[in-house]
Amino acid sequence: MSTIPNDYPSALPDPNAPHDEHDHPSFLAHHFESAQQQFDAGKLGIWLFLTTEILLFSGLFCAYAVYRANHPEVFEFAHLYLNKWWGATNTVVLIFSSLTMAWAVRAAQLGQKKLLVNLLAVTLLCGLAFMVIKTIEYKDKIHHGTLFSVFYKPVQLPHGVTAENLLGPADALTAPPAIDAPEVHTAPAGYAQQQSKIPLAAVGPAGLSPSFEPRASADGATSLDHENPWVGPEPRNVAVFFSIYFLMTGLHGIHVLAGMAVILWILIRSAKGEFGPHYYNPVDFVGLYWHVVDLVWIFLFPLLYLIH
Amino acid sequence: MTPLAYLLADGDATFWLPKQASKMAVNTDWLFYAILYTSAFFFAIIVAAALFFIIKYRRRALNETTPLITHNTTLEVIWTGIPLLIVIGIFFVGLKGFIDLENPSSDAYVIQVTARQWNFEFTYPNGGTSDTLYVPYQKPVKLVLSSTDVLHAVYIPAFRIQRNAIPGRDTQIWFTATKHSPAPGNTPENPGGFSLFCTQYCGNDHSHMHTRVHVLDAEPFAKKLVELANPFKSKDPGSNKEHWIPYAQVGQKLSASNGCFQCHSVDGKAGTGPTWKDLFKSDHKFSFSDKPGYTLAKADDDAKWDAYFHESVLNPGAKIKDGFQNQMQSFASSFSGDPGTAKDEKLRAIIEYIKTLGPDYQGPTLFGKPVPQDNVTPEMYEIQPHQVYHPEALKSLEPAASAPATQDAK
Amino acid sequence: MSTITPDLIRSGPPLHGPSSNYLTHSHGIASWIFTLDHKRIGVMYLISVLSAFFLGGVFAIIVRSQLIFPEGAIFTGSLDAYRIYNRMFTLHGAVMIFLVLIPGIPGALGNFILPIMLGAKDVAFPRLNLASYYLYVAGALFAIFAILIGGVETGWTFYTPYSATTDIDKVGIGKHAVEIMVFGVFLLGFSSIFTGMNFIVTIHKLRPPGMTWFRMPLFLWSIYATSLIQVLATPVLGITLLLLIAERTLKVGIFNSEYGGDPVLFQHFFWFYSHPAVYIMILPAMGIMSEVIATFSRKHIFGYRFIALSSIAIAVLGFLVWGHHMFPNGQSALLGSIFSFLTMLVAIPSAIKVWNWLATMYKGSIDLKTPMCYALAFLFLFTIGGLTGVFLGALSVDVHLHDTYFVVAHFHYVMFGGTLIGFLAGLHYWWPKMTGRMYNETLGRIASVLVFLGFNLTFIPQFIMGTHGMPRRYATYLVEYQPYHVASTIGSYIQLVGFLLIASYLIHSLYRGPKAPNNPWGAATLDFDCSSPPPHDNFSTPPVVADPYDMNRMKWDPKLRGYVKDANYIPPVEH
Repeated sequence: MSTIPNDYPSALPDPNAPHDEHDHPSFLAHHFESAQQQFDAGKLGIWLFLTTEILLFSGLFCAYAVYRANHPEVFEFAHLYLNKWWGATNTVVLIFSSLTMAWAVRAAQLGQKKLLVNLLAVTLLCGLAFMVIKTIEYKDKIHHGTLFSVFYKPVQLPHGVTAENLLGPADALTAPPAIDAPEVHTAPAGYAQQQSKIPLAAVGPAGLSPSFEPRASADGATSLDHENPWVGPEPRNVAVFFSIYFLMTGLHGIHVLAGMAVILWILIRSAKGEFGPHYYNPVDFVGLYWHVVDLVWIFLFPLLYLIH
Repeated sequence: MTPLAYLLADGDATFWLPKQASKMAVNTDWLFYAILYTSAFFFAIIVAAALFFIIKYRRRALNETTPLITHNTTLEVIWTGIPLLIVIGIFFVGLKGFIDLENPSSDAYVIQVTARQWNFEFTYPNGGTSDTLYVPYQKPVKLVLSSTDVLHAVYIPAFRIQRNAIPGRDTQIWFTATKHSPAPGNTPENPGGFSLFCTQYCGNDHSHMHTRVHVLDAEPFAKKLVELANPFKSKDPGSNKEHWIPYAQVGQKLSASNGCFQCHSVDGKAGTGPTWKDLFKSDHKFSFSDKPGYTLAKADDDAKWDAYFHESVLNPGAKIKDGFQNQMQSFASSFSGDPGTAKDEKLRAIIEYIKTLGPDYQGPTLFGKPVPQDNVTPEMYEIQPHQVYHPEALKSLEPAASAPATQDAK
Repeated sequence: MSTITPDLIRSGPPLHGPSSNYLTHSHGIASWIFTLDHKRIGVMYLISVLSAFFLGGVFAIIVRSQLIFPEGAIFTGSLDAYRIYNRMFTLHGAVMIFLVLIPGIPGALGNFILPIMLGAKDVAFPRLNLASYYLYVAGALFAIFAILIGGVETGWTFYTPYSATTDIDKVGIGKHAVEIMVFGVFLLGFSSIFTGMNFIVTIHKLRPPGMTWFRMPLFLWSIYATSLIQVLATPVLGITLLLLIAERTLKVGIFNSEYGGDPVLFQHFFWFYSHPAVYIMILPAMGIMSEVIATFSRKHIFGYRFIALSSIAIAVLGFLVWGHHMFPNGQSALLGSIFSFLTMLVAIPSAIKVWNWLATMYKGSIDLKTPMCYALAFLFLFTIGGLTGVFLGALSVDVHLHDTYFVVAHFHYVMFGGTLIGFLAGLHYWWPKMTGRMYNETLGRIASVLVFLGFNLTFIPQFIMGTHGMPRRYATYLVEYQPYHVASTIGSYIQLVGFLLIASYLIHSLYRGPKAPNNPWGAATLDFDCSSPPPHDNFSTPPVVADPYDMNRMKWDPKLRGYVKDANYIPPVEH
C-alpha cells in the first residue's frame, strides 16, 4: 500500500551519524530537512501571526465603528482637535519606510550587503521619525488637555471652531460636559424610550444620538464649510473619542516600536553578513510585519484625522 | 407528533417543567417536549447500538481480523440529512415562538421594571411602585426593563419568559397570564405567587434578587394599584374609611420594598451598610467626607441628622461612616424630589423610620407636641400627616392615585 | 517492519545506548526548563494542566458543598459570605476554562503526540513552543496571584459593566485583582495562539513524504481545526481583555453606557472568541475519540473523510453562532433567527461524528480497556450534551432555559462529559507512550465507572432544576430546589473519589508500573511505531507512512506483551 520513497531515508539521517555540513548548514534547524522547507514554514508562520495581529486591531476598529455609528457627532467634533498635517506627514513617512523595507528584502535576496544595511538603517530612521512626530502630537494633547476619559479638560477650542459657533454656555470650556454624572433615571411608567440613551436593541443602531443635528441645514452649505467646520454645542462624551484615539494609536505605536526593535536586530545581523541569497528569511519576515504595521496606520489616519 | 405528556399535563407542573401560567408557555412547552422526545429517540438508538456492539462484537481473540468497511456514502447522506431536516423544523417552531415574544400586543398594559443591585422596582402606569410584581389576569402585560447599574434579568419560569435588563438601553418582554398565582399563606415561608428571578449574575447578593409575581383579577388588581400609588394612605377594612398611615410605618414598608434591608439591619447585626438600630443620634465618625471637618454627634439637632440621612440616600458616597465602604448606589431615582412631592415625602418617611430606631427618638412632632408611638389608632392620624414637614406634601399623590389606575385595569 | 527484540525491551531503551529516550536524553533541571523538545514541553504542560485541574476541582467541590442547604452550607448569612461563594464559582470557571480545558488536550497531549503521529522530528518552531508554554505559566501565575490576593467575582465571562466596576477591595492590590486576572487570561490567550500557529505550520510543512492530508490520523485533523480557531478567534479575546483593562483603569467608556458606550458590545466581543473556544475545547477530544474507538474496535475508522471534514465544518460554523449567548438581550428577531439557524446547523457535524464512531464499532473486535471505557462514556455524555444544545438553540425554548441550571448542566455535559472525558481517554491511551509504564487496568476501569456515574448524578438533577427555573450562579436558593442540589452534590463527591483513584494509580504506575511495550493497544498510527517512551528524535528508523487505521496488520506478540506489525501482512486493496 505504501512504500518508502527512494529519497526518504536520506531525508531523515541517522541521528548518530555525524552531521553532514553540506546538507545541514548552520542556519538550518535540526528538524527541518531543507532550507526551502524552513523558509516555507517560516513564511506560513509569519502570515498566521500577521493574521492574528490584524484580528487584534480589528477588535479596536469594531469598537470604533460601533461607537461612531452610535455617536457620529462625537467624532465630527473631536477630530477637529487633531492636527491632520502631522498625521499626513506620518503617513508619508511610513509609506516611504515600506518602500525602503521592500527594497531591503530585495537587496538581501541579491546579497547586496551594504545596500541592505543602508536601507534597513533608513527604515529604522523612518520609524524613529514616526515616533518623534507621534510624541509631538501626544505632547500637544497633554498640553491642551485633550486626553482620554476623566483627563479630558480642553484648554482651547478645536481647529476652526469659534466660540460663537459653539452655541452654548460661555463656560462650556472651563467645565466641559465630557463625562456627566449618569442621568437620573426617573421612571414615569412605560415611557422608556425618552430616558434611554440607546433605544430598544431591536430598533437597531440607526439614529441613536438624539442630541446630534446634522450640520447640513436648510441652506446646505455649512457642512462643507472649512471656515465653520462645527456649528452647535459641544456634544457629550467627546472624551471617548480621545480614549479610542489613544488606544488605537497607542497600540499601533507599540507595534512600531516592536518593529523598530526587530529591524535593529536584523540590521546587526546584516552587518555581520549573515544574510545572502541562500538565507534571508528573517529580513523577509520582518519586512512583512513592517508592511502590516504601515497598513494599520493607513487605515488609522483617515479614520481618526479625516472625518467628514 | 403529539407530545403525550404535554397533553396530559394540562398546564400543571410536570416532572420536567413548572406550571404553565401564560399563553407563551403553551407554545414553548410544546416545542420543549417535541425536542425532548426526538432527542430521547435518537439517544436511545445511539446507546442501544453502542451497548449491542460492545456485547455482540466483544474481543474474543487477540488477533481477530475485522472486515474492512471504510465508508458508505448513502448512509452518511441519510444520517446527515434526517437530523438536518429535524433541526431546521425545530428552528422554525422556535422562531415562531420567539417572534411572538418579540412583538407585544398593542394593547398591552405597560409596567416599568427598574432593576438594581439587588432588587426590582415595578412602576405602574399610575405611578405606584412595588417590589413584588402584580399583573392582571388574562390581559397582555408588557414589561419595560431598565437597569441603573449592572446587567440584570427578569425571568419568570411559570410564564417561560426571560429578558436582560441592560444599563443605558431598554428592553422589553410581554406575556399574558392565564393562571391565577397561588394565594399567599400566613407565613413568610409561603409568600404565594410565582417566582421571578434575576438570572444575570449581578454581584454579591445576586442570589437574593428574586421576588414573586401575583396574578390578580381586574378588581383586586385595581385596588392594589391604588394602594401601591399612595403608600401613605390605607383603607380600614371594617369601616372602609380611608386614613393616613404613620410615617414611620410607611418608611418601614418603603425600606423593605426598596431593598434597604439587604444591607442595613434594624437589629444591630453587622451588614454591608451601618445598622439602623441606634444609628440616629449616635456618635458618628467618618472615614470620608466631601466637606472636610464635617462632624455629626449625638448632640446635634434633628435638622442636622435629617439632612445627613437625606444626603446619604440620594448621594451615598458623600460621607462614609467609619468602618464601611462606599458600596451603596444612589436612590435618587426613587426619592429625589422637591419638597412637597411624593418622592421627597417617601424619603422623609424612611428617615422618620430610621429615627424611630434610635434611642433618643422623641416621636414625631405634630403641632409642637410629641405623638405617642404605642396604641396608635388611625383616628390619631386623621390629621394630614404632611403637616409634619410640608404643608403641600401629599397633594401631588392624591389625584394620580385612583383615577387612571382603575381605568387601566379594566 | 519492527526491528525491536524482546531482549532490548527488557534491558531498557535499546537502540542508542542509555541516552536514547527523551526522558533520559539529557539530565538536570536546566535540560527541562530550556528544552526545545516537544515531548518534554508536552509533559510540562501535562503536569501544569493537571495541577490546575486539581485547583479547579477544589473550587468545584466547595461550590457543590455550599449548595447542600438552601441558605448555603459554607458561606451563609451575609453579603460578604456570598461574595466568597461568587469568587468560588468564578475561579472554578476561569481556572477550568482558561487553564485546563483550552490548553489541556492541544498543549499537553497535542504537543507530545502531534509531531510523532505526523512523522516529524519536532514542531515547526520549537522555541515558539517553549515560549508558548512559558506564556501559559506566566498567565497561570497571574491568575493564581489574583486568587491569592482575594480572587475575582466577575464570573468567568467578565461581563461588563459589573466587571468594569467591581472590586474585592477598595484600596491596595485587591483593587486590581480583576486586572491581574484579566491580564493573566490575555497571556494565556497568546500562549494558545502560538500553540495554534505552531501546529498549523507543522501540519502544513512538516509532513514526511507519504503523509498526505487524507492519510493523516483524525486526531491531527481535529488538532488542525482547533488550531485554526485558536489563531483566528483568540486575538479578538486579547483585544477585548485589553479594552476591559483600559475600561477599569482609564475609564475609557466603550463598554460603559454612562459614557455612551455599549455593554452588550463586550458580550459580542467575548462570545466571538468564547463560542469558538468551546470548539477549541471539544474538537481535540473528538479527535482522541476517533483514535481510541478505531484502535479498541480493532477496525478501520468508518467515514474517514466525513469525520475529518466535519471537524473543519465545526471550526467554520463555530465562528458564526456566538449570538446565541445573547438571545435574552433583546437583540432583533432577525439577528436572533440567523444565530439560531446557524446554531442548529452546527449540531450536524457533531452528529456525523457520533454516527461514524458507532459504525466503526459495528463488526469490530471491541476491547473494553480503560481508554475505550472513557470513549463509551464520551459517546453517552457528549450525545446528551449535544442534544440538550438543541433545546438551547431553539429560540423560544432558550428564552425559558437561558442562564438556568439547564445551561450549567448542558455545558458540563459538553465540557466535562466531552472534553475532559476525552482528555482522560487520551491520557490513558498515551500514558504508556509518554511514561513507558503501564497503569493498573482494573483500577482504571473502576475509576472510569465511578467518574461516569458520579458525573451523571451530579448533572442530570441540574437539568431538571434548570427546567424548573433554578437560576445559575446563586449562592442560596428557594427550598423547592433542595432535593436536586443534594443529589448533585453527592454526585460530585463520587466523582471526587473517582479522580483521587485515577491520581493514585497513575502515580503508582510511574514507580511500580510494568514497562510498557511500544504498542500496547494495537494502534496503527505512527506514534505507536516508535519506542515507549519515544527517543529524543522521535524515530530511530524512518517511519513508514501507511493507512493509519489498518488495524489488522498489527499482531499481538505475547513475548513483548504488545502489538507488532505483521511482516507477512498484505494490505487489503480498497474497492
